[in-house]
Amino acid sequence: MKMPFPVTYRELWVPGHINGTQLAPFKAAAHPLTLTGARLGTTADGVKFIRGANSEISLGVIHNSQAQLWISLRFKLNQTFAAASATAYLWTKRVDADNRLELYLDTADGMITLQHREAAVTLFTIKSVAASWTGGTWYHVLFSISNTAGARLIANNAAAVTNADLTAAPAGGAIIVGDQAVAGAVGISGIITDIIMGTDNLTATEEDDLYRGDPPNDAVHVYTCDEGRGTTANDRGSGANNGTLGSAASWAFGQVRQSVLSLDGINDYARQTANIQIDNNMTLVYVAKWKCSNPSGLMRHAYWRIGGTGFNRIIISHSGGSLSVLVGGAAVSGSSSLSAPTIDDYSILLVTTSPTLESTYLNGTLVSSAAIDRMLPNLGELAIGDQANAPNGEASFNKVLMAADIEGVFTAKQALSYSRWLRDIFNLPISI
Amino acid sequence: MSINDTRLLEELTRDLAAVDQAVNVQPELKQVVFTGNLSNAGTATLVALDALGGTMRNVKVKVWVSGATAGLGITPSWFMTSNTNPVTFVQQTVPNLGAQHALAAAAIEEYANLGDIPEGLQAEFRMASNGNDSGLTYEAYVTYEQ
Repeated sequence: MKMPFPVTYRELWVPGHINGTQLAPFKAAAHPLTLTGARLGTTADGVKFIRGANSEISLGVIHNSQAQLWISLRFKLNQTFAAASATAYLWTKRVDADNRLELYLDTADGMITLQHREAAVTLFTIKSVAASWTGGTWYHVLFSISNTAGARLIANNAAAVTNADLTAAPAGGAIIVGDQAVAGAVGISGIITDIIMGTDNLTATEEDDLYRGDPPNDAVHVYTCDEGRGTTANDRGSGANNGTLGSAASWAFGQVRQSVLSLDGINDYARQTANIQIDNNMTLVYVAKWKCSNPSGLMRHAYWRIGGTGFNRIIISHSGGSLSVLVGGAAVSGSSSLSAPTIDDYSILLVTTSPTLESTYLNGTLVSSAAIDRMLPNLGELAIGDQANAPNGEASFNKVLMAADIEGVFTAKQALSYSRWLRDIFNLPISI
Repeated sequence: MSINDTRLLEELTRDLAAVDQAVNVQPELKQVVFTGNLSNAGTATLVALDALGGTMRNVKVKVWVSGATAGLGITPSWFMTSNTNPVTFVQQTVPNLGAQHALAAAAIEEYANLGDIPEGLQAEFRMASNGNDSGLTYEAYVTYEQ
């Protein structure tokens, strides 16, 4: 599709050109990004289940007798679930009917239910307060067992429902997502994604941040469910325990079907450590599917840096519960706070740097400007997904569709026109 | 309708914009540069392309090798996934991809007419060598229309 006006790219990266640990740039004399953990993904929303035989993700027999285990996931049902809807399983670790830990939507009352049975004794049954789940709406659920903190169930960041039982996880049985068993056919009809698991006690901040799409850096299993192809759900965490999709499970795509740079929110990034031209005469582009919504901690989504004394950097990040764009010259920095996207929103961010002003455009609209001064004249470095000069786990969880550095400062009209063009190129559900 | 009512004008403008876009939908030529090291007495993947967002048409690859030594034999190959097996790369028959042959020093090899990568599929351009290429770098210039 024809560009709305001539553009000179200094750097341009789109994820359809990832070869192993390199994201190749468009055109010669531009610079590749080296990937650490980051990899090719897609805009898939998650894994789709049809409440039929072999419609599940099997994670294998893991965490037998695990003393502490927490699981976070997001789900969206095809139809509204309430009391009298058929019981639908979301997650199980099940040896048999008498030895199991299971999370399910209960036909008796419509509530999300966490139940643990050992040796035919029901140790606990805890339930959400909410008793109805609207079809087509995303929900988050976090549940855990612990030999010191007991059992907890948090549905969509409501108050935790607890039980004092300290029993470890079942001593056997595969972990199944989306159904009760491999041939169960009693699972959900809908989508599950962002399955994150750990083996410690979560703090209150970590619990809240999981709801907001920021996994703790010590998460053991992170299934981003964005592969979009094949039958493997890759484990991006330290556990390295890939899951297998059953033959009746598939990848769910919405309106957007694109390659992305997939980040795990723990320690992934893409980086170029030198030769990135950064100055007061450019327009930076960041197009992404957002996977977080105002987490409390630091998440560096994109970070351009010259180094030396002073600021000399452009940072798109979440910090302290808000999204901001920071642009700094040698001595003066300007910061724009943005109305943060919610999880699974797409957005087009343009940041312009002139000798005295930075301007931030969100989906074609100027949202903020701030005074800056001149940056040190030097070549710099860039990281997508973490801090540029020293990646340290301030990691983004986003799906990045494009990043670019453009020569010159876009006017407001150019920003609007270019944003519309990007929206059409990627077929994004954004009103501009 | 008053003189200040611009609804009809706005409607006409939107229609014109839609027509303009439809008329001007045409593929653009894109160029990507991959760099890396050859694999000593093995096969390296020089280029990897993902056409999830749309068909990549008329893919062409040109490879520059930093300093092929005498006796270096290379064998280029083109692999692609399929709709029925979207994660398995299968070698494609490409008439003009040569069999194993020697490179002169600092050689440029041009591989035209690799064809299209249909929407949703992935492809890789690989190069096998029979040795004597430890430390050799490559630059692969890929053009396609999309």
